[in-house]
Amino acid sequence: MEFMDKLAAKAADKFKETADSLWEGLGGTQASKSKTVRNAKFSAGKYATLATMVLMLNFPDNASVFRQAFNVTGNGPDGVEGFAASKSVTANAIARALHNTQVISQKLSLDAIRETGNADVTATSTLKDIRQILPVITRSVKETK
Amino acid sequence: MGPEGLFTGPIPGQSLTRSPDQRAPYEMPPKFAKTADALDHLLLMVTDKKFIKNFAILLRKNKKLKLDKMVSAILQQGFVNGMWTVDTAMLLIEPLLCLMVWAAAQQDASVTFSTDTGYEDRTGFDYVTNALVGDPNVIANDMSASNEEVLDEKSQGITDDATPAPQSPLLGA
Repeated sequence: MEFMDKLAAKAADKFKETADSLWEGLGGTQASKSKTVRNAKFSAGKYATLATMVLMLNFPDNASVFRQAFNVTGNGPDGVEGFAASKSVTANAIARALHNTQVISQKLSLDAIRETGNADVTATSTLKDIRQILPVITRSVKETK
Repeated sequence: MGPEGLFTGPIPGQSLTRSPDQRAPYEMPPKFAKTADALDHLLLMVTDKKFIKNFAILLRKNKKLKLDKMVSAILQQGFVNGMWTVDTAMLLIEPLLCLMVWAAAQQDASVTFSTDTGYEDRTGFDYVTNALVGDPNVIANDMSASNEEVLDEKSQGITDDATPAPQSPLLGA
């Protein structure tokens, strides 16, 4: 099924684009291109942040668990509280963005339950959905900076 | 399709020549009719600690492994085994991609996509970790230590089967 490969590649492209938009919204980074290439073996923090956000939207019941388990380093602080306590501006922005996502995901879930009596009515949340709410998330992050 | 391509695939209607009792799994109703149910199944699969550990080892050993190809393969295999329809599989691509990225991040492993150019802007991780930990050498040492640990386990013949299956982090400790 070659078309599945193509769709997956397209989804990967969309994922990277959305991660870039998210990172821009959070204030970007000061890392240069050359440093990026040198550190390419590391998993990107923006990828992990976006993945956590999509999962929070897809599983609103487990949103707090994902928020708590957020850890881009494997060695760094666990959970959003650890990031919020950091002196790093970017880490603080990530913490606030994830908090906002949790609030939004739970609100969407409550709305769905109120309207249809079933939280699963939204089926799956995709990158398109998160692109729509991205301005809301990043705007509030900038306001509280 | 070239002239030789006509002979590499099944003849149109070939599946109908078999007895209805010998149906392939994908010719029957899928196990997960709803996308949300299929996604719940994938969540339990990917958030399993054993899966996360093995996935990280795989990513570190095979640098050429492309995540989107892997996602596509998992979903195709699910279709062949009658877990979901092709339509559901298409809807599951993005969420599964995110789940796999999340799983890789749990073990500090890097993911690559088939569309990567080699000069991707992968900033963020190093910036955040340097800011949090303070010394980037600490991370590098820890990473090499964890790699050695994995290799030691393998050389001693310790497998995951010998240890009790860890619980999913999302199921609560």
